[in-house]
Amino acid sequence: MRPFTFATGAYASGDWESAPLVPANVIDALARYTTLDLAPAGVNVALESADLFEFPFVYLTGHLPVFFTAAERRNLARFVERGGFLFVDDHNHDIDGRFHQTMTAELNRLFPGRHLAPIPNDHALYRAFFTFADGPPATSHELNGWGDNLVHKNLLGLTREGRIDVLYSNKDYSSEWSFHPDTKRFMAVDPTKFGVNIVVYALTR
Amino acid sequence: MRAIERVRRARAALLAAALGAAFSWALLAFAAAVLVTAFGDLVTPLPLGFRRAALAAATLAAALAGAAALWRSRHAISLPRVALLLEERNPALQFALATALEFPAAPQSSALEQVVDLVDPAGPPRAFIGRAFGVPLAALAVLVMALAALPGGALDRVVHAHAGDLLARPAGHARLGGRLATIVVRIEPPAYTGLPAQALDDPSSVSALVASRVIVLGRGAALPIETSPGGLLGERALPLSVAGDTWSVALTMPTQPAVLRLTDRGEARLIALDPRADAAPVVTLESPRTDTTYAQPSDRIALAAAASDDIGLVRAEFELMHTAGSGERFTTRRWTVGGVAAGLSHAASIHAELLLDTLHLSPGDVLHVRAVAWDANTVSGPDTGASDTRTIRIADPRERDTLSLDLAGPARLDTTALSERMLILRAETLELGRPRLAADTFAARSLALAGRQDDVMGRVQAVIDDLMDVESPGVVSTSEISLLVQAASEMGDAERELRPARVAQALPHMRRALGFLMKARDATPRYYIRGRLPKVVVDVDRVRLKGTDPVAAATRTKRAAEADVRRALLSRLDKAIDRLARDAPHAADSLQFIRVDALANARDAAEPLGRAIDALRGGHDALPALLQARRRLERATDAEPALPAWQGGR
Repeated sequence: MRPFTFATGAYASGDWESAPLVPANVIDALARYTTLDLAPAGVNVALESADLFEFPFVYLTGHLPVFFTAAERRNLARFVERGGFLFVDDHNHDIDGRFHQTMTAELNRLFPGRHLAPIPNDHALYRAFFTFADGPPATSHELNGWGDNLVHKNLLGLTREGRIDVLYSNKDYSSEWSFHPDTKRFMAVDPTKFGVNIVVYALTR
Repeated sequence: MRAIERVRRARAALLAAALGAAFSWALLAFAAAVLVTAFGDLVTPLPLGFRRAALAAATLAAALAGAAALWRSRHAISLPRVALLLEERNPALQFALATALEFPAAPQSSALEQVVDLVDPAGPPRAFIGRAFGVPLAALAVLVMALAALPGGALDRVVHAHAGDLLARPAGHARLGGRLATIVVRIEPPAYTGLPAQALDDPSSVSALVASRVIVLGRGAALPIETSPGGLLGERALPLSVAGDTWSVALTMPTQPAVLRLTDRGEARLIALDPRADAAPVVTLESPRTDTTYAQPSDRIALAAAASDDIGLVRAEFELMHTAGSGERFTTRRWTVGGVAAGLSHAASIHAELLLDTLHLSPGDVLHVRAVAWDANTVSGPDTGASDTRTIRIADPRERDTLSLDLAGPARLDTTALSERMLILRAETLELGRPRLAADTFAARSLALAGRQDDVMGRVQAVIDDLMDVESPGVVSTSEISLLVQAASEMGDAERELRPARVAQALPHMRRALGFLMKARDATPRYYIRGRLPKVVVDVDRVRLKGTDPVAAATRTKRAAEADVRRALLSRLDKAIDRLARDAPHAADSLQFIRVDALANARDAAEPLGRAIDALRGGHDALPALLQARRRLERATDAEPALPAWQGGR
């Protein structure tokens, strides 16, 4: 079996590469708290490439409007249908911003008949490894009033047979987790712990 | 009256009689064919196609009969023949009429005319004409009486055959409990489609657009029975309407396949409802064909798109989205161009032109272009179709310094250019000092420069290899690679000149190499490495289990395997097939439910299942269709290779 590899999805439109330090940070957190066999560096995988199916977990982010190509759309739908886990984080933190509008429209188009719905804050996702009693941890961008001055209470998701297969976040974890892993030693609380929950949930549910 | 006039008059009478007789025979043939078909339909309901064909055959038979009658009377058109007929009927003429007709200019013609006038031959006898009409008219009268004696509606089903006329077929009185045996389904598509209503005779399934009005009609409502027929859609009871002897149940076509259960006392009949969704418009952006990066926001871009829809388009337009900004602050504006009202046509094409100069684009801005179309669906829509989106970027030279780019490439190019410039300075210095240096010293220094030149060439080659091996998506500039290849080639030439101490000859190559390097460095766009993220490698072993936060991991529970819908259908189908021999009616009902589930989850198997149900209802062999459905369900249960497994916790 291959070790878990954190894959960042690359799409043709928008700025998918806007959070380059997130993969290393999540990998670091997974190493710190779990015994998962890990690849020491993340990979970038083009959504239109068949390589996408080599990874069970794919992270998407960006600020700009997102419009998938036909090949990206086809691959993504198949990826999720075959059990892949898609974690999408809006790198903006505004209400109904363009990334949010276009990405949610794309996801709804990808999965007709299914719609992104708020995930209850007592969902198994929040107990998959660490316990987050109040649901998704707030980000500093939310707490300091930057942007829309709003704490998003829920993450959104597409659920099939009781399992989340597409997790969508407006909370801008992409900014919150954008620092070099070594910086964690100066932090009182490791903010990437929730990333551990997401990965563990994706791999075990 | 002259002889020729007498003959012409007789010919006219004969021709009229022939035409009348031909028409009578044609009517007779038509009526006979219709009567036979109507009678056959009374015995057993004839399919719509057969009845329509029978009407066409009756028309053909009429034409043939009329033509045959006309053929038989074809000699009536010949004047000599008519004259001979008159001669035959009037022997006293002694061929005077025929001779007068044949030789009108003969000297004795006046004598012949006198003979004809004297005899005054009569025209064709009434008996002759009567015989021509009599037989077909008599037969026709009998047939008309037989047709009139047919039960009401029987004749209509042949003469005005149309879908949905099954209820018009006379069947005596509907038997008690048999009111579900004959039904007609009328389908009225949603008003926005403009499609005509259609009817289905005795269907086992109804396929229609979602939200169509479906009306099931049956006979026997006036029968004095205790319980009226009724309909059940899922758990919902449908109200029954009665008009005269006809009962009806109306419903709106649901969005998902369902079974309509009609019940009448102890009997039930299942009808599968197969909804068809109004498809969203299909839109193709024909121009621009690819994503583009512009060095300067000054170009004219032609936009072209084609849209089509199964029902009708209402509007199509280009949607443009301009995003500007950087870091964490972006602004986006959206607008549309080239909109057209499609007027419910099935296809439309739109064209527009985009002048980048007028859009106030700045370096780093992104412009998204796509075509969007709407259909006329007022029930669940309007449905929107969108084309692929083309991304037009305006190059931003500053992006080479951002984290989103791999800096190694440009940095190596920069240092390479610097090294080449230093080599040129050293070569020029060496060449200037040549008169003062010993030949050996000069040659040794030139050889050293050759070695350095070889190193620099190796670094350029490494950059070329990296560029050729870019895996990340983005624009790879082939012109830039070409410049670097030329630079490397010049460096090779310079190195070869430097080795034998031909410094003066090497210098032009070195200068040209530097020129190519500078061109490559300054070439735009520089997005050939866009998206190559810096590879941050985590020292997993160093940080493994060194987290300071306490872990309270929840106990994992094994997730139940996802249900295999097709396999479940296969199992149900096997049971239904087993039951077929013992209890065909209930097996048919089971198949109807399986078919409805297949419509939602395994559409390829639904079609043969429908054929099997129709075969069962018609008393035919359903097994071939059932086996085909089974094969289709079986084949599609082959699993695809799973995603790679992860090792999990140790």
